Amino acid sequence: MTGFFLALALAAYFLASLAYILHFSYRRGYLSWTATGLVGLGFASHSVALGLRVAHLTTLPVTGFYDFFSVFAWVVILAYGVAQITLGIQQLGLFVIPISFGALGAGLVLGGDALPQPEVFQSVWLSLHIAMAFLGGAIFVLLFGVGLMYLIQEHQVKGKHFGTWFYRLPSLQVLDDVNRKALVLGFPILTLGLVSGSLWAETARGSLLSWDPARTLPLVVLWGAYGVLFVARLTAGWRGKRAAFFSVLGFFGVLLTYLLHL
Amino acid sequence: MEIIVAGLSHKRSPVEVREQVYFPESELGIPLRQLKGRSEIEEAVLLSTCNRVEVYARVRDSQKGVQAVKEFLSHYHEVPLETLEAYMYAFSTREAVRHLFRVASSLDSMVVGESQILGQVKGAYQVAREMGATGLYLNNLFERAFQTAKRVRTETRIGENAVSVSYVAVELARKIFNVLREKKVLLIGAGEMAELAAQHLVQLGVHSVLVSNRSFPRAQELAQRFNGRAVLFDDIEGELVNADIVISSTGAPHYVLRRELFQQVIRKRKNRPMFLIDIAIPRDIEPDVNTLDHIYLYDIDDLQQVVSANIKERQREAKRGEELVDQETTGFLLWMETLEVVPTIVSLRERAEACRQQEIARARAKLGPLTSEEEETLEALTSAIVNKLLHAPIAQLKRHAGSNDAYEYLRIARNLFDLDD
Repeated sequence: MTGFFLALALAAYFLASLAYILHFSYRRGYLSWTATGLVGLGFASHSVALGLRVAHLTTLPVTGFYDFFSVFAWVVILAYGVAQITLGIQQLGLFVIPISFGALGAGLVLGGDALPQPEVFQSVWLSLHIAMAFLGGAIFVLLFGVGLMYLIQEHQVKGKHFGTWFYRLPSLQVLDDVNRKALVLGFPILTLGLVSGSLWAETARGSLLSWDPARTLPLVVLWGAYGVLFVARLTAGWRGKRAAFFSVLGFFGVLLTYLLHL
Repeated sequence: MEIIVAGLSHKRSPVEVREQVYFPESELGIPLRQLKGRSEIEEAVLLSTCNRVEVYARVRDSQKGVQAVKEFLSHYHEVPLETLEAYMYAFSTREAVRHLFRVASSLDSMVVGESQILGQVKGAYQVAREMGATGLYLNNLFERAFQTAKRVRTETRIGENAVSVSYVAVELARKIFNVLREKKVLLIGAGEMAELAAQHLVQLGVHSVLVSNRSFPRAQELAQRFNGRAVLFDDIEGELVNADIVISSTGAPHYVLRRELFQQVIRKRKNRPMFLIDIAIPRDIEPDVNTLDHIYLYDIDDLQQVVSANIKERQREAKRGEELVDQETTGFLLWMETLEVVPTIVSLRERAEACRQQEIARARAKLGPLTSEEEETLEALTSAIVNKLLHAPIAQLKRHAGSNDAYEYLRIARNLFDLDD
């Protein structure tokens, strides 16, 4: 059953991505509705699959490539939905939904079993750590999306290329605002994830610093990098192109560190 | 029944010809009455703008109808028929309906997507309707034309991107700043185009306008118009730090604002973006300024380039508009057919019945008194022949009633059976 719902979700994300691409080129109203509907369908089906998975494992499905990617894709869709309902950014789906599709697809291809982690539900810190880590990651995916959109639009306005992108993408100001909001929200969440992770490590292993450097060091570096961006953005006028560029770069950092941390 | 249009437009005729056949809007009454008075024309609407003069009409025969319109234009304006014919176009039925829908939707305009033409078509229709020159067919046709225009406007973005330099400047500002409410504008030099662009910006509610000019009184005058403030020409450098949008149009023979200056300005602004519009010739702002981050510099050629890009974008959108027009055209023709299939069948039957009665009367006159049995046989025989002969054409007409070629079938049927006298 889980397999069926996952396949349905995967297909829906794929078709939604396709609909976003077609909508970008042809801008028919029905394509936009179709894409939104498909994302909704995919998300619902994906949620059912995750629910079944939780019932099966009796823990949060967050270890192993398969579960990690599946949950990650799901949280990204969730964050995308919230962003679209509250902010409504044209063409954001074009940049974000394919990432979810790719993540879920990668999870299904890579497979990998979950390690039983019965302590998850007992430890507040671990639950918080996991929730914040995924949420933070998803927000950084959105940051990546709007960052990329900003770079494309900036290139159009600066270089005076007036192609389809110029007309379809939102204004620089909108994209930069969303970038700021996502960073202001995402960085504290990432911090919270890091802190709760350490606290959990302390309760579980007796020491705040009993960390495995290979797993933890990249995470601290990532946190530092976003921290620099966060502070510079708020105080030193790191806005626009530079902020967008680092948001795009940061995404690859997130991907890499999360995988190492797994 | 057929719908025709005949006329001339900017596409195929020069203004020297169009002005000869132009009807001033206030004087449409007399020509309309003359048109309506012609036996070939049942209903008529006369559309006259500076880009086109067209007559839309419902006629019984499209060729005769078109000829009548041509003769009317020629007589009314005393222009030789041959001159007109060289420039005129004429369409009937599907093409005529499509043409009107395209015109109303501004797909046939010189600047595709301009919004004026719809009002002009509405005006022309209004006048014709009030004069009683229109009836069932043209009323429905024009109502649908307005619906089509509305659909094209809302479902495509045909009218969305500016096609004049000063509006383009405003649009670019919105692509950078999104909303202009909080933005501050600095005018350097007080040329006409700068004034126009500033006016658009003020309409969009920019926060404030500063004006600086070599002649301070002129700066003050302009500042007053925009409820802004005049600044001395020498204070510009200080004011730049607070300006989000700069429109420069001085008559200076060399660059007035250089890259080093903007380097400092943007640093002081903490990288808040700036939009610089240089419409001076020779240019005021060193072109290199555009290489600085957070600064977007456009000169007059760049703006012109946006105008052409926007025109292309409109043309892309126009393709979608054409699809909508096609749909609506088909819709109207279907309506026309349902209106005509039933009357055609009825008049076909009536004509056959009239023939039959005539022939029976003639036969009776020859045969003398008949027994009731013979009477019955005669009736049955003639009825059977008529019904058998009519069965196929009527069935065909009914079968094609909703299809694309229904109109052709109706026309041919009315022609073959001579139903239109």
